Amino acid sequence: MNIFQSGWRIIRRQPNSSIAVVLILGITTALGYTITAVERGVRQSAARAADGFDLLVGAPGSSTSLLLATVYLRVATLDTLPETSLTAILTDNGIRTAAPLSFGDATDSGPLVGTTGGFFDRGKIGVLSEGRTFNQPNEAVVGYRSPAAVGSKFRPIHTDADGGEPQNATGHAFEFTVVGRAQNTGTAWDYATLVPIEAMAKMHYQAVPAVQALVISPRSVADAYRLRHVLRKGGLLAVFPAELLVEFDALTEGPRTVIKAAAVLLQTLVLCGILVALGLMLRRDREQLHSLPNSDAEIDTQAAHRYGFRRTWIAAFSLPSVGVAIGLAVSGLSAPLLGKMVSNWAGMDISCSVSVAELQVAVGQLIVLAVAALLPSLATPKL
Amino acid sequence: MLLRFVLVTLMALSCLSASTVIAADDKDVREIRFDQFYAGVGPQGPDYSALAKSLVGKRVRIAAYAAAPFRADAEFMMLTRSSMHVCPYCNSDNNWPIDIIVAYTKGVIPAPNPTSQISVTGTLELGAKLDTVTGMVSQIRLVNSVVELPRR
Repeated sequence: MNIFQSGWRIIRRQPNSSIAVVLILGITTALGYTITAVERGVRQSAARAADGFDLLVGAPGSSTSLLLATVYLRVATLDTLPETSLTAILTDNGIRTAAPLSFGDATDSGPLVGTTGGFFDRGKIGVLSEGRTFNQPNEAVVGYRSPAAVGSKFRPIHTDADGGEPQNATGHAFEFTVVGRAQNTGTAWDYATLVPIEAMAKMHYQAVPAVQALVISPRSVADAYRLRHVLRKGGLLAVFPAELLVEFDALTEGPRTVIKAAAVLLQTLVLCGILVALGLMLRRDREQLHSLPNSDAEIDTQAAHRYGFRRTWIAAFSLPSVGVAIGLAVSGLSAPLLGKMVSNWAGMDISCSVSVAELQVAVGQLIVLAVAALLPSLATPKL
Repeated sequence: MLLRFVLVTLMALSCLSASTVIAADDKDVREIRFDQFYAGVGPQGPDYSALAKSLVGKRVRIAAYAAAPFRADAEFMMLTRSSMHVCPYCNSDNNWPIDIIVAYTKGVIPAPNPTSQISVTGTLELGAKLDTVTGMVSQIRLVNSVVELPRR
């Protein structure tokens, strides 16, 4: 009999234990890989969302608030930029495009953001999927996922909702016509509605727009760092989103490492348990084999021992390996699925998939399994 | 014992991808310093030095500091002459560096500590060039860069 067939016989003789081993390892492996894939997906998506926002400028305050309000469109308190410094900034030669942003109002689908045509002049990010950008104060461009159709009209809602019918109670007497739709960015901006910043001012009976943030695309690398430096010296807040993201990464590295280490520890403990179970399973198999009157391993005890050792190793290695393979396959499906769920919850596209990193870990696991499979083989009694 | 083996194996495997980017690279590498790039400032802006021009297309190594990251999870990093993060006296307006180097790496490398000096080796490129990813023009670039972090 072929040694693989012989190894397979060990497994087939105890189907329940074998299935249990495969399932337990499959589930823990899938869990571990899904966690690492989702963790990476969230981090990468958060970084990608900041891609069109090179240099953020705000009034002195929290740089985190500035980042959250602009890149992720989270509600944050931002002071307005002083008008004098605004005009001074915008004359700088190093600026390719600058778009002022003004927040605070909303539509049915999401936040209403006041800006200028410069916002659409930022390369790929500013390209529209439909229609055109606004030319008139009462025109609007909606985000990719906004339900409003091009050509439709709407009235903005104010975010402070006193009374039972906020929309009617605090809606503005200002009607916008949707003239364009932005392309899919996979970020919170897909739910936003963009209107001319002057219209925002008019809506609130103000003569001058309240600019809460400025998104600057510098001409050159040197300009980017010079502007950041000069604006900071001028008493403003000027940050690259990446600075903050890298800082957040460093801050959360500890907890993330703990989670990953816990996943590895969990897998290791499960592996230990599996090895003990396999040892018992194989011992019983060997005893059964021994009690059989005319088994395939006989006469030459040395050779029989080696043969028994090998077939035990095959059984002890292949069962958990199948578990790891199933776990990898399951995580390949569950990671994108969980990514979708997290996307809905976060309001931005978070694509999670199993990558080379997980494959590397899987290879490592197989190596460990190959070595660990020696243990039950060694533990089984000699003939 | 088994646990340690498992952990070491996993760690070694997870480092595999990173170590291809962060590693020493020693064949025919010339050293260059930040103050050796420009000969002076002419009417057309800064002029590159003869040394810098002679090293175009060659592998050069430079000691630098990582500037504030411009993009997270990016395959490039910005290098400056001095650490620009902490010192409030160092960067006055007049000596603000024009000699920021963009080092393109193969793969994403983790942001180095901004206050510790790193050593970057790459193929030198000079002259204004538009980066299609960032939409910005750079003057000095190192391509296929390899970053050596200081030993802790």
